Amino acid sequence: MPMRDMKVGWILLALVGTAVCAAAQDAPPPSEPKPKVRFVWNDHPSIRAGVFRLDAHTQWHADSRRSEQDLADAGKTYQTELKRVGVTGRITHRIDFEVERELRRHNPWRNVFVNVELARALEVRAGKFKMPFSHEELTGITHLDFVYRTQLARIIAPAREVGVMAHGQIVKRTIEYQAGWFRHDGENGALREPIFLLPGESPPKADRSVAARAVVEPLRHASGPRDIRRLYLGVAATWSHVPEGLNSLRGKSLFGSKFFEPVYVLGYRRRIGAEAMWLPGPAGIKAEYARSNEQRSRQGLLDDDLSDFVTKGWYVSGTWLVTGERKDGGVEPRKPLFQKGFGAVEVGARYDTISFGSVLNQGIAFDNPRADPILGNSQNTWTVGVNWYLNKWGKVVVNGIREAFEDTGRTAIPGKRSGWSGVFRLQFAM
Amino acid sequence: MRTMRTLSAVGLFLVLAASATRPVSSQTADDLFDSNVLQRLDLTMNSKDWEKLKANFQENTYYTVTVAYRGQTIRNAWVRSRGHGSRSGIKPGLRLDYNRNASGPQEFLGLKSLVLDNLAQDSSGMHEILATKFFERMGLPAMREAFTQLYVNNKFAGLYAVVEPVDKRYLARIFGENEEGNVENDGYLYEYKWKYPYLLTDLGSGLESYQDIFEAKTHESDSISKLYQPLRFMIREINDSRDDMFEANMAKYLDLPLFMRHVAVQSLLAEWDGLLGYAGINNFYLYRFEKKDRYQFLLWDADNTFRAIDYSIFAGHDENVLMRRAMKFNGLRSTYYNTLLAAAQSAEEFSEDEAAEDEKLGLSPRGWMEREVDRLYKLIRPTMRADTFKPFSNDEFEDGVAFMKQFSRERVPFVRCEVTKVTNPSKARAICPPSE
Repeated sequence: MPMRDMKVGWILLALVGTAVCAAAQDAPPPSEPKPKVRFVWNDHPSIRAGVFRLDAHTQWHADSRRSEQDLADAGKTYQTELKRVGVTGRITHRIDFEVERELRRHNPWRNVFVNVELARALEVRAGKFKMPFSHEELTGITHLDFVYRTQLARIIAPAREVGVMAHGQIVKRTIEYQAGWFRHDGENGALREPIFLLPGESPPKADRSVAARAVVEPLRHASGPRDIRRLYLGVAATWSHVPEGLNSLRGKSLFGSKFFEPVYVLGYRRRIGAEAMWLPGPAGIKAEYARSNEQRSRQGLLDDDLSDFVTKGWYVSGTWLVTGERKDGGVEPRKPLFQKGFGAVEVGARYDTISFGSVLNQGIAFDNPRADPILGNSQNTWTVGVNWYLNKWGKVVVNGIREAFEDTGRTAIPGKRSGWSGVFRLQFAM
Repeated sequence: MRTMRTLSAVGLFLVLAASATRPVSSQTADDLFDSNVLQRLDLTMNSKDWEKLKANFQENTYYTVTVAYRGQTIRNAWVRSRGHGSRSGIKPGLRLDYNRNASGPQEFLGLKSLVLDNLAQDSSGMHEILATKFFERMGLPAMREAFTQLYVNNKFAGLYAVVEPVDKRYLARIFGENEEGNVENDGYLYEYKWKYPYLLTDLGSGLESYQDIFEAKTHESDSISKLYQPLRFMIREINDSRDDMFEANMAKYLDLPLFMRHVAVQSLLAEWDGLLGYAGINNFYLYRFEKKDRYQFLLWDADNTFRAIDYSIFAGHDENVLMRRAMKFNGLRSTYYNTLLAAAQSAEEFSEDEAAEDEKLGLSPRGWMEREVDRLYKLIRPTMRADTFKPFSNDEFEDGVAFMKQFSRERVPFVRCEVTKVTNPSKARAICPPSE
């Protein structure tokens, strides 16, 4: 077993030890009778025995797409991207867990973690889960407002990683925080190039990363209608070390076509992010900004230091539940389909943008991976859509997407700067 | 008005004066390929990239590079390892590309790319450059080449040959305008990729077999049918045409006399890895002319010339389908032998001035080829000896050059004798040296 896995193993062991101690506090007196095991089918199948519970979940969605982009490498016209099964459960009042697996061979494990609640203000989670960065990325795929996540979430946010994280709610639940230490820098920022060492050169230091995020709900305890007080403001940051190579973040369109190739980096990768969300009743307004700086020490043609490689993105979106349901806490139709109702209908629009470049922007820019300044590229995306919530499990999403690229030479649609795509998604989540 | 005129005149004078005094410094491809000069080319690249390129020399990974030649520089260029049998992790063969950028087309000295031959397959270092010059001398198209000292990050990296790439610019240079008045370079160009000993036999109707060994270098995005069906038709004709109709039928696809001249010159140069190579056809590009079915073989990579003084002038004739069938026709056979004799004469040709010059030096008159060997030797000797990256010792280099001198003196009589033996056997005794 490699040293790094050993360390993760020790951390998990320590966490389970802590959990056992916590469980001991919650354990029923020895004289109490053994709880009865029962099977419950509420929203999903569940086995329960006293405090213990084990809930089975499944998520599935199928897409039909039309696009001016080549979909050959992106699952073609019809795609069943999501086929996920999993269990969530609770061992004691303070320990719960989640195991989730995609039904595919490549990278099948999704969330696999144990969570121990030491106090409301301090919980500890260990295993594989999403690093705390970007509200959009942290939102489950079946709860998104649009078919695809924004480019900010897909490219800049780190996504899942193995690690340990403290989290909790403080100041009368006004502030929610997360801070963790992770083995690498997330699936989106995964390194793709093998490390090249010269004779006598020692391997680079491990690319561990740390991430922290805080979300404040400033109006939680203010007076006035609860609906208009659902305002969330957050900030987040990550730090990691990236080994030498073509390991920078890279630009891919929503359908996987490359529009910005990676550049050589060496040094720190730092992300900062800010997010805002207001969910007054049936409406939802969300916005995020994120920026990643990646150091390029000794990456020039003369082995000189280059200015940081910068990836920036932001989006703003608005949705409105025409049928009047509340947006906050997940949409559940008041009148589900085939239960004397039509379900819930939501309309929405989103604008998101992402750009790649360097801190230095004076002088002649080139598009090679050692250029300084870098000849950047950017993508702007408009998405408009309709969500039809059939019931608490089923959802139909229709999106029209217009992607536009700054550089005609590096676009997802050969010879064209922009193009339309349409996606129809049928989704089931239980 | 008068003031205006005076000002205009002064302005015009200043412009003319400025243009007259502007230094004429811009270099061209002709300067780079001037083989009378030992060139110098400077590459600047991240030191890790250079080490990585050498460590992964079997890969075609591109690295960013800045290229400088006589004060002219191109940034945003790319370099990769190249070659087949000549690939090396110590002295890598290199390909420079100036036009791989999404930001727009680029060129340097009027070229879109450049090949740097590492001279790794020939201890004399002069096989290829001498062979291409001789092709040119015989009126056949060939890449321009010159020797160069290569410096990478200001450190000497070895003696290389700069080789003109076979691309649309090259086609335009050798073919010029076609009968329609357009530059002839928009046809279909293929680079032959040796995968197995192939002798121009019919590969069947599956076009993938042709695609596997003929890599499209122009019109790459065309359908496989558009790219390879015409080529398949030609190869089918080479194999299936009736004996009595072969020459006539092939005329649509190939200038057969030109093909015979090409192989004859390769034969004089004792090329053992060319169109009639020991392991099937190799080292050529194939070009299909615009709006035509006609093809032409174009020379590439002549490192394996000068195999042996007594290298058979019939090598590969029976194995290669095209050559075997072509040699059955008197006219084509004559073209082959006559070209061999013409090439022999050209190789030993000298002018009166050159003879006088040699006499002053106490030498018997040297033919063109021997003079070239001496000239090239003088040009590269110090650099070649200082090149510690070459896969040969300095003694092997000297031996290689000595062989080249011997070849240039003895190949011609051998070829002449062999040709006479088949074309005029009665005279062979007079021409051929007495057998031991």
